[in-house]
Amino acid sequence: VIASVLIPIAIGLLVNELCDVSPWLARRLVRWSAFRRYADPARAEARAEELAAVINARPGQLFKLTTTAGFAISAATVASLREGRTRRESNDPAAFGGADGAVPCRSECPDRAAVCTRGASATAAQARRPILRPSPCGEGA
Amino acid sequence: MAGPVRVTGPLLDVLEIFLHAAGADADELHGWAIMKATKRSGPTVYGVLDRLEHMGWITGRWEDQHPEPSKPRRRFYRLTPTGVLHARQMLRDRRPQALPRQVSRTPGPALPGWLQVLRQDGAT
Repeated sequence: VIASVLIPIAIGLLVNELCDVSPWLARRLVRWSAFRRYADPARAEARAEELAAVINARPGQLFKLTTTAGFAISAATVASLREGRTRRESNDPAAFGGADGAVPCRSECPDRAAVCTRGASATAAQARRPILRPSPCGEGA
Repeated sequence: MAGPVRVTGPLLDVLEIFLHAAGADADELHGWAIMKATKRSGPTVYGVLDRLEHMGWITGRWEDQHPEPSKPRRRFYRLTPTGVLHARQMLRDRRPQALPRQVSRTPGPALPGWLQVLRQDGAT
């Protein structure tokens, strides 16, 4: 009997609390989404404010949260695709150093006279290290 | 402008809305108004807006202050002259029935319902 009285009260309180928290949560989530989606912080900051206005214009607490969730899922997907692409580029010897393992200094160094220190000695295994495409021009002499 | 344009349904929808809005005295639209008019999700619409802005077809400006105090500012977008040309050309090729007959500042009586919404939103 006590449970049948207390449980609905607790649920009511919880729902009420969630309704109060949801605009704050939506603002936080939409900001996170903007910074996750855009690599440029200035652009992300502007978009965060803009998306906050969009969420604000959306009627109803539940709709606000679902829209925010949509932005968050989309941003997470875009970010993971971007990170995957970056990782692939840095790990792929064909993209990084060519089939013979030589790092393509000539294509990456606009100045052909630049000292290309990796081209002659770097192997595919070295190039396969998870590094974010460092410039091979004149490094590691 | 970037390379060739990837033409998608959402892109055509957004361009259509912009062109119709330009003829209805509400040529500046904010994201929520576009979402409502196209019935597309937020990420889809903003993906298109990103592309259009990157290509230089639209330009955006922040409003000074939201009409209601303590609300976040909105960003309004409008087609650039280049964007108008490209949008009309693209719609003529892909969706000729959606192309507004002429861009006029005085909308006729048979204005679609969603356009009325855009005008109200643009006025606020």
